[in-house]
Amino acid sequence: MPTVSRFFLKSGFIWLIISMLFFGLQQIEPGFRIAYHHTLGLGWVTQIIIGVAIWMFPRWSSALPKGPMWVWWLVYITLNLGLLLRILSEQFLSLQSEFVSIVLIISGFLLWISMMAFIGIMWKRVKAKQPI
Amino acid sequence: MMPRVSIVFIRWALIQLGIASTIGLIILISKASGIWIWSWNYRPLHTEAIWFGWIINFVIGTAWWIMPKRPDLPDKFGNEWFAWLSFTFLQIDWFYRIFVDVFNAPTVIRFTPLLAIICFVIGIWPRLKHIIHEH
Repeated sequence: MPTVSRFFLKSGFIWLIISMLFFGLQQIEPGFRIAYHHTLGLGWVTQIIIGVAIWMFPRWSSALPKGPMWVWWLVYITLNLGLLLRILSEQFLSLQSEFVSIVLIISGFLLWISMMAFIGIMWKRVKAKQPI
Repeated sequence: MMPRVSIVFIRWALIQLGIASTIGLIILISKASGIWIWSWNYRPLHTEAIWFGWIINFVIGTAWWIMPKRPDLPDKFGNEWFAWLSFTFLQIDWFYRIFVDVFNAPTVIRFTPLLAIICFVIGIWPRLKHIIHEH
């Protein structure tokens, strides 16, 4: 299993723990519901899917079986940083601070870049035949 | 070798992920800045594109490819028609929301994901049964 896959999987488990915390908290404060859904859907499920897909899907090419690794690390960093900023800034949105709003928008762009990079690199690996 | 139906499932899942992420970004910008309030109408599409469009499509497509094969059958992947039916049923609710009504769908439409999963399970079942007999 490539190192980057292990990072995705281990981070996925950490986000799962955090999502279960938010699951409990949302019973007390419904404002945590969005945090629960995003830590579960992006932090856990999507991150596990990406980690396993890097490891198991058909090769990108014979020279670069997993594809360019820097793109996978870009996906990893932008996904986790974006999610962390998203969850933190969302909790302070009620302060109506310009700084918090900017951080929230940046987090959205980080997550979007992460998903687009993932789609771009994975598209080529979804194919019938392995390259020789 | 990845079967064609899995390629369709997984690539469609990637497209849905792209759509869901873009809608999510627009809603987030709206939330932070107060502009584009109309984008909140598309929140049900965002949610459904993530859970059904991205996650379930991807998982079914990958499972159909990676689960044990049946070399004793004419098609080692089993009856692929069930996978195609599953794919079709799984998209109906989402397309209804896009083209007809984003907020409400008739009850019969809301049950199409259930039909999709039933078709998938029927299709994949013989491939799992084979393992039980082997061991």
